[in-house]
Amino acid sequence: MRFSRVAGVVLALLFAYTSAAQELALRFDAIAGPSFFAEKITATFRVAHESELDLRMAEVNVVGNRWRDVRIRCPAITQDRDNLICAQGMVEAPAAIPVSFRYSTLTGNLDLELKPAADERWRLTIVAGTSPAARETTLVVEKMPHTRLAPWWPATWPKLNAGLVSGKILLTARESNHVKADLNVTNLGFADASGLHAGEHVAATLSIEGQRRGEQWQWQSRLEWKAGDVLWQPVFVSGAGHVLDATGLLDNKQLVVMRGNLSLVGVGNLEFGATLNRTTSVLETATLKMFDIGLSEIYEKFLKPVLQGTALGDMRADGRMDIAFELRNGSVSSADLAFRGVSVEDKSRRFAVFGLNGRLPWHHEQLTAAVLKVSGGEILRVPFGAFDLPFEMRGVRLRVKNIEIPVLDGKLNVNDFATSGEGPDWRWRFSGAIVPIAMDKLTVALGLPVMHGTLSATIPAVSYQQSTLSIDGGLVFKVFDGTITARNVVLEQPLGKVPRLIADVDMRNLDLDLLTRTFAFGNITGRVDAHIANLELVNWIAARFDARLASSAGDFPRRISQAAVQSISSLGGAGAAAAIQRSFLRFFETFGYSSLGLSCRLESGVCHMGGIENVPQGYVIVKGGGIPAISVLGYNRSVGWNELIERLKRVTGGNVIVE
Amino acid sequence: MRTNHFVRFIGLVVLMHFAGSVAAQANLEVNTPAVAALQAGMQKRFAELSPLLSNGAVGLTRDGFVALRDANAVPLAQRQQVNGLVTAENQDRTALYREIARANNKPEWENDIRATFAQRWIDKAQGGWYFQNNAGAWTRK
Amino acid sequence: MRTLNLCCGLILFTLLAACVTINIYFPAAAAEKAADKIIDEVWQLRNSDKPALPPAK
Repeated sequence: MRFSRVAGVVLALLFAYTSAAQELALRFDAIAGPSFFAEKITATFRVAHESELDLRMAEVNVVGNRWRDVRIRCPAITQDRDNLICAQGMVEAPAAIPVSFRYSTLTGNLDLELKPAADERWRLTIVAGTSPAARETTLVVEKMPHTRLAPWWPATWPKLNAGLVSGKILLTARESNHVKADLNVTNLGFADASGLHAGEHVAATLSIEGQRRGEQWQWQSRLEWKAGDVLWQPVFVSGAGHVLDATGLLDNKQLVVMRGNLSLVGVGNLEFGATLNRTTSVLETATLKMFDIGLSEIYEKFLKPVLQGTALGDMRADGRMDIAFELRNGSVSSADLAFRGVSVEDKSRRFAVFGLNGRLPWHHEQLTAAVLKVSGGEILRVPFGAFDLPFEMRGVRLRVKNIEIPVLDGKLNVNDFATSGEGPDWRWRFSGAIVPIAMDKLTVALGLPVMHGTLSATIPAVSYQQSTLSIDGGLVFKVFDGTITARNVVLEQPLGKVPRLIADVDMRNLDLDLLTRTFAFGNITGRVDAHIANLELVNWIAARFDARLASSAGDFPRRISQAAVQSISSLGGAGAAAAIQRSFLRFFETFGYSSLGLSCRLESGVCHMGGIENVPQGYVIVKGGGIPAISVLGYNRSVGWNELIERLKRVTGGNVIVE
Repeated sequence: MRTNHFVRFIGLVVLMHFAGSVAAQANLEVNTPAVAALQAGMQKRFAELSPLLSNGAVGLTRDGFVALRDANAVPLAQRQQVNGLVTAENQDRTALYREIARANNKPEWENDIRATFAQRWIDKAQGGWYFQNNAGAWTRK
Repeated sequence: MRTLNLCCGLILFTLLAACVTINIYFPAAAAEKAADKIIDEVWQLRNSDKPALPPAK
């Protein structure tokens, strides 16, 4: 370097003068090197008792950073053969930084050390070599605080608030530009304004190596995240030895990851590749593959936070999966999922699926088809068994031709299941049938008192739209030797906070004998019809209905036992039940009646009641007939529903004392 | 025959005195099991929400909901849970306003009920809590 | 003169109509009362000395 030769001459002259106080000033317009540019340099050597160097530079540019009016002073500059040594220098402007350096005028090698803070050390070593191409530059940094990164830190990234960086960067220029950097970060902290993208106490190591060939860099990197917590809304991950390895290419237009592997401790390996367009910041292509990962871990850590608030947000998940995604221009273009023994269970027991096996190929445009196998599960507490699910998908549309789902001892046939629409307009429908299911099993599953009979249905259409399930046609329950038909069944928010069931229910020819024996109400023989219009169950509890019950037409025994009379009376409160005990009627086991009827319109917690006919005192519930006869009248038209239910529970719970 | 008539006559007319209460419809109906269940859930959640409201992490919005106002007021490891809490509370509130409207057979009242609650939540807020004023800016009580 | 009367009449009518339309069907006072009751329960504002008031019938 020209500078070194000049400096060499100057030194020789300088140290020729020993005792006299001499001053020698050198001026240079500019010195340039790789990533280095200095302007208007003045080097003043003062020789007194010791030699002093006063170096001023009007402007210094290092790797794009500019400093003005730099002044470096070396109060005792010494010479050792061809080496210029400054042991205790000081950068005085723009900031006070202790500096020491050794410069060889012969080789052009430089060894410079800055100590900006007590623990912090910057050491720049330049081995000039025989030619500019052979030069090796090494920068070693020890405990650099995060504040020094501020000028380089992209404005859109979360701001740094803590951390120390140590590392080594090596630049060589043999056949091509070569960079090798090893950095170690401790106690790194960062946060954006909202605090939803933040990290604390992050400890990590980063190694990058790159070679430039023409306009393109080939790079390899390894990032190891050892400790610390990071929140990247909505996901929260703690560092525990996760490792990211990647190799790729970089030029002005693109960043390419040719091979990438993310090893997440406790979850598994993610292989990935990507092409990022640097001008548009669009992820042009990307592939992700995960093999044999545990669904439990990936659900807890990554899926659950994203699915929070949805029906899938509170589950236990189990089993193993293979997951592959392909992205084009920033959106998912295809996916391939494989399930092995996957089970999911909603913690609120709204649904569960066990033993899901098979493949699910998906493409945003093309048709894909496969068969999934399910071992069983539960929906709204009704269990179902094993079945095969052959399906077709294209984009957001799903079609299933015909499947048979075993439910208890019967079946649900689902025909022509199809989804349509998008976003809030998304809906599905199918037609189907219920092949008879035993009522005793169903009532046990639903936690109701055991009833005997069957449930079957022919369903022209079941549709689901905007959180509402609608069933066309009727559900037919054959129970109590009669028929109960539920029509216009609508279920709002079936898996939501407050599910609402609306239906019209028609009951024909129910055998009161069976009914009263099931509910331990005493014994009434006869048959009844009932009609419940606009039945509304909110959270599976009756909130509204308009019900009418009356004896069926026809010839059949009509008797009512004393216990049943007691029960009915108890509904009227303790006082009424006592009345029958005191009379001589207590010697009779059963009484006759000609007809019975009751109506109740439930609205706002009040049951507005009526009977067969009105009488001056109220309304007739049981009209006497036969020998001996008994009549039961209702007095109050408006009854608190909760109170009535309480009394009914007490009666059927066997709390009525019959002497 | 005569016994029959006699018995029939004696056949007690059992008067059923249903001592139930008839709800007066002067007030807004809120006594449904659904509302009670939602209210109980919200009361239980309040134990966790209360400190977050006190330290300003969560604030009351002007349309009857809660929102994460300042995530930085919560330690990093707990911020994710706070978001879940806010989502769950808002789901309960939405269901509450809808259920009250339906309990009164007036689904169209849902917005008015939400607006009424919005005002009352803010009025009854404790000192130091944050709420959105009419302009949407966070204000401290 | 007649025009003036007509104008006054129209203005009066509009004002009356406006008054009538301000009378909203939604029972705001009752809603406020109901909201207060629920908020008191959720935020446990009535707690003072008694643990819980028995439900009014």
